[in-house]
Amino acid sequence: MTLLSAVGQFGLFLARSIFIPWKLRQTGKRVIDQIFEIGIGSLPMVLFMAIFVGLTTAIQTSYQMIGTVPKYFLGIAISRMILIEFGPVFTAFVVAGRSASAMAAEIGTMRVTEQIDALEMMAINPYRYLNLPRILGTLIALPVLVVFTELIAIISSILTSIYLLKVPFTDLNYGLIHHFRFNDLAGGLVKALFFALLIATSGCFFGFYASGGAKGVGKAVTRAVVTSLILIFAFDFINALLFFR
Amino acid sequence: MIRIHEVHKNFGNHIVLNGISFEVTDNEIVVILGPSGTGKTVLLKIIAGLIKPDSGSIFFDGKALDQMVPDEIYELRKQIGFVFQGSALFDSLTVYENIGIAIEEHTNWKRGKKQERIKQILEIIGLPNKHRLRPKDLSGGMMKLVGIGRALALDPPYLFYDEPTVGLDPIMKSRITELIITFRDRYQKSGIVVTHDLESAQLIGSKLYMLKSGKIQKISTIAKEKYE
Repeated sequence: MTLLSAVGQFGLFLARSIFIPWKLRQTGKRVIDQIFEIGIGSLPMVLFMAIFVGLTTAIQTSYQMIGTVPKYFLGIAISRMILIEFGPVFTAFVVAGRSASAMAAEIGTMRVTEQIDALEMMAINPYRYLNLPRILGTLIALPVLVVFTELIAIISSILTSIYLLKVPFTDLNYGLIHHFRFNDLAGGLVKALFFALLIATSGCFFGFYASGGAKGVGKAVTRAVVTSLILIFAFDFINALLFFR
Repeated sequence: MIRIHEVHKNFGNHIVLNGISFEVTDNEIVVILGPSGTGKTVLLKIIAGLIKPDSGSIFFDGKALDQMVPDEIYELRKQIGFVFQGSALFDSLTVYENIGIAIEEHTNWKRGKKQERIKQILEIIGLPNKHRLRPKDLSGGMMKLVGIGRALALDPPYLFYDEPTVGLDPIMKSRITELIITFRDRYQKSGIVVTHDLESAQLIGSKLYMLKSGKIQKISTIAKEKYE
């Protein structure tokens, strides 16, 4: 499969999954189930990751800056790095590892055990029944998780800066508050929306086209996670190039 | 009436179906016999529109399947109940939910009517008290019965069975055979059964065909009276 045809197939799959008539009565509950599965299910891992991202960001930034620039720059750097980059990207990594794999495994198993054929034979569109709730669920859950990550990571950074690096709270607070830009937060959240779309589509796509029994499902899971990560990296670069130059 | 006309299907160089033609008239069950790997399931899935043939046509009441738009195909599928070889039940749903999924999707029935219909189906298939179980809690035979129940949910005029008795013990095999006969005689369901179980085939089939080397050949016409 050439890269171009793969991109076309991926795009067509996404279009088929989202541009489809649906009723709240039929799909609403499944979207809510997915929000809980992706959002609440990822919380412990996201919390753990956010604490350590905050700790490391404070220590590394301080190592590079203290002594060369005023201390309040630490607040600016922490806030910008977490809001623009670390919050959305690391949360997307966690969700890609956890949810894209789960989606590919679940849908792939349904494919190889003829459950998707069964949906078709019951006149239930599998794109609407399986993919749409997962895509919508991820689109809603990921930005909320990103805000949660950013909050926890910033708190973790502040506590590290104050208690471990002995940076005065007033200096830190000045950098965090006075140089806060709403666009940084919004930019990160917009990025999260695109990551969500890429993660959910990868998970559903590779599961949907799985074949060859358990081994095929295993391959689909690997491809879903690897593709999600590659797309996150690529989109992050394009986004940086377009909006943060 | 279903008419299958000159259906061809190859997988690479392997010819699976080589000009298959036959008809299924109302209240009739056509049985396709043949050893494993001869393409019986492929043929059934082609007739159901799940696999596209390389050439040839399938007509439902005179209308060609390959000329139907997706919405028409979905409407047609509400008229077909499909029983899969491995049952293909949804693991995360209970027996009740598995049977009720099509009702939930395609009807605006009130809760009471839905419950009544699912209860009726559970009684027909002989599993009245198993509605809360999940597929993992069922035996292979019970899963097959639930698969049949799910196919009946919208009361379709056509029922397609893919190896309905494969891998079952003799008691369960005869129970399923009797159910298929009941659907044909009491509920006037037409259908197609693909199987390699000659004994069941002779009991349930109005017409028997043998699929071998991509070709189909009529074996005999079994009168309903023979079973009775």
